[in-house]
Amino acid sequence: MNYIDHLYNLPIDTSWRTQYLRYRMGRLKHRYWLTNRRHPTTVLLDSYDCFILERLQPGPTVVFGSAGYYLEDVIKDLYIVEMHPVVKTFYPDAIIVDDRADIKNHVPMAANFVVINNRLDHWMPTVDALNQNIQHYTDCLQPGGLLFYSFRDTQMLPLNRLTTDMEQYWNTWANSLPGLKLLWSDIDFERQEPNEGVYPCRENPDTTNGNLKFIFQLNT
Amino acid sequence: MKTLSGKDIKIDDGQRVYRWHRNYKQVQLGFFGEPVGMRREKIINDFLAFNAPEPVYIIKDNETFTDVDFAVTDNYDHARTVLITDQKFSRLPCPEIVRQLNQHLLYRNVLVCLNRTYINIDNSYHDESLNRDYQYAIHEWLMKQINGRVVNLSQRYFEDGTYFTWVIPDQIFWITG
Repeated sequence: MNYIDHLYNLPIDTSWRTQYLRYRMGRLKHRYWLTNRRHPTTVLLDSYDCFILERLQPGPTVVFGSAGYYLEDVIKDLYIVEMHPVVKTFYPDAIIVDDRADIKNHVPMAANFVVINNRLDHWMPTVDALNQNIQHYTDCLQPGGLLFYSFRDTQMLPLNRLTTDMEQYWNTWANSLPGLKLLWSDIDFERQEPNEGVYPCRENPDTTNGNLKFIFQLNT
Repeated sequence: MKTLSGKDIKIDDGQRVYRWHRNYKQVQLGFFGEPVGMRREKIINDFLAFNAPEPVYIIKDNETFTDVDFAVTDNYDHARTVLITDQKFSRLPCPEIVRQLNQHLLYRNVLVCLNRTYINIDNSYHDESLNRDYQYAIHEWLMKQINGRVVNLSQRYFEDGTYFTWVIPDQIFWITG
């Protein structure tokens, strides 16, 4: 038997099934699409989706790397952009890009750009790499356009969690992005209060959307 | 609230969208089309087989360590070693991790695997005197707080989500009282 340290020690099966599974494991809201496309009268969303819907500006909306096709029946003028080619096999209208810098070549200048807990945005080696991603998103926005960006603090940057106050760190980050004004933020951590001596040990107050949520506006 | 096509919008609590964890190992190892094992699981198995007083009580939350080379017990009172790989353990507040480890160490040795991305998940514990390098800092934190000898068995690498850390946590410590 071969023993491996990580996923890329051996070639990964290129079958559709494996590629689909790999994509789906990291795209929690893909399940909403599976449910919604079959249900004749109801569309399933969560409260953060509704929060975003209420705040979208009129005009094109781009949803990137977030299995955003589950929003196809609730957002007009919607553009779904993904990086995994497998998405095209079950959702032909998706736009597939290899590089975030290419997104702007495939979509109109957007009034709204939405990224919800995008697995491909995780594990950035430095904050500069994260900020470069944000720059690619804002390159797609009209002046005054909104960027809805959310993620989990546990999977974003290689921060020293024992010496860094996460709330302070991400607040400072959100207020320092060039060209963007922070309109709203919600930073929440799982509060581990014991019940009769037993801790709940939950993973995150919002595993699906991320416990750090921001709305930025591109300066006019 | 209605959709563009006139359907009703139903608000979900989000819980139904993630149910992977218990089978994460089998799902991920199934990507290779041939029998594959996780080296981290084998290293821990071999280390305990050579070094740990038996029997071992295992605290886990998924399908790992089902075929091991050391004696296992389901009775905590009989155990001479405790192996902790349960992800939930890493999500305890830092002082509670320390308290529970020290409790185990009163009568047993411990091999604990902590998920570096979960430590201090509630953002309530900070010690700026610790090493700036996170992996060294975790080791230093335990050495400062634990009533025992702490040996670091972890590998040094940049966590990018591909190292099966959510099957068996990555920061591995052998602690003897």
